[in-house]
Amino acid sequence: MLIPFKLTAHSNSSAEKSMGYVLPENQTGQYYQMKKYQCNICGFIYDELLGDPAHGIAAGTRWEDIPESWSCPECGVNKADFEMVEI
Amino acid sequence: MSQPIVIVGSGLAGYAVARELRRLTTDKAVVMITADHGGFYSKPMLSNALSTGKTPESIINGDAEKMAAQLDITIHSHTRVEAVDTSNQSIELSNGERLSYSALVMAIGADQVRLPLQGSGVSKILTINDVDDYKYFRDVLADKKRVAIIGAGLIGCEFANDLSATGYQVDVIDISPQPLGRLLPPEAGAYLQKKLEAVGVNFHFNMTVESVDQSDTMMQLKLTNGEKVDTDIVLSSVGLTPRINLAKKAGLLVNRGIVVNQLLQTSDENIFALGDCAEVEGKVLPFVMPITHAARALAATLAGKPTPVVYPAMPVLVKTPACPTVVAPPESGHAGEWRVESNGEGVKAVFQNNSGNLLGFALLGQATAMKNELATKLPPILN
Repeated sequence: MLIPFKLTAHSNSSAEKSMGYVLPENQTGQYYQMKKYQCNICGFIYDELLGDPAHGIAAGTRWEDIPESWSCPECGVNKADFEMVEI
Repeated sequence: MSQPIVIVGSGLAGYAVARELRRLTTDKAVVMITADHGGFYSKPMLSNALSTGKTPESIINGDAEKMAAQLDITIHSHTRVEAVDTSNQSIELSNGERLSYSALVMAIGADQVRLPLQGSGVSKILTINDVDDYKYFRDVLADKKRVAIIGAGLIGCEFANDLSATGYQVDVIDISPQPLGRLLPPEAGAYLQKKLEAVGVNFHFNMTVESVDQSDTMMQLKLTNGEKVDTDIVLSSVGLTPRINLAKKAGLLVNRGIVVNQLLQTSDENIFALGDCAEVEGKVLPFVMPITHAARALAATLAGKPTPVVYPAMPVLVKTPACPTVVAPPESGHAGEWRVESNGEGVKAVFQNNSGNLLGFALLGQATAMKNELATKLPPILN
């Protein structure tokens, strides 16, 4: 099961971040593995770890928490036209 | 019963219209006619498929059958439209059938320009314009080591980077003095050149190809300065030319592309065009983002609410990982000049008019981080 988390600057080592893992906020020890989603249309990759800060999506924002109004920064298609890719 | 909306072409533009239309309405019949297999895939992914570990098969997201079911449309694969009868609102297909339409959408794309060249190897020169071309290229590439690319534009540079990064020996020949000659000022071109050379790309600039010859074991290009380039595969990527013949034969107004107004409507009120084949208010923009905007507007129009297309500024991402590059070229004919700042980490080039307004930019390396900030200051392309 995936559990909610909040990415904070001090909560994770850079090594953990670079591996795409962040600690959940409640510190129960269960890790959430950051995922990447690729745009079906242009190939742009949304990385949960990086977010899309230039368009108001903070680093660490999970895919399901991105509003439906968000669109691909490279080609403009809707969130629905993305798919998950394996890391 | 009303006739279906007929979409000609199953590329990004054709599928984008079908998809956007289905978001708005499920009760209009849609028929897609396509000369190829009709599977859906992202064409931009072809030029970095080697680096990203993709195969021609894995690039295809869904075959025609799956897409037809998903979008609730009918797809006629491996079928061409031979003629359009505008007065009867019907088309003639290559299988001899006739089909009536309520609205016809031309999303037929562009052809790769082929240079008139001499030599015994000319018929072996490859172009990559769709996934079938790409599959053939990958089959040929399987036991080869060297590729020569004619043309250092967007596609040429992307393939050069992808091939070089995955161990092939790559030569690129271009008539201009730098890569992306139409998009980058000289300093930015030099930076991109240096970065691509660093991953092994071998450029031959200010040069045209005189002949391409084929022997038993290799191909050889002769350049205008007498230089000879030995290679295994020759790839031509010198530009795109919109497919206008079908529209022209139907008596529609054509220029560089199929001429359409802001409603994406041709000179016939029931026929529309978008994507690489279309010239929208004088603009031919063979990129993905214009297709997304055009498809949304056109879908709304087809669903009964006439909606002119609006293009914001649309920077183009060049998929050259050796040198991340974003370009927003100024419209041709606009007066202004480039101002270029560079350091070892990147190049920021902005094109401004004499009032200081930003009209275009080119960002390379670390400077690409400024893309969004600068994009908001650009004028819209069409509003």
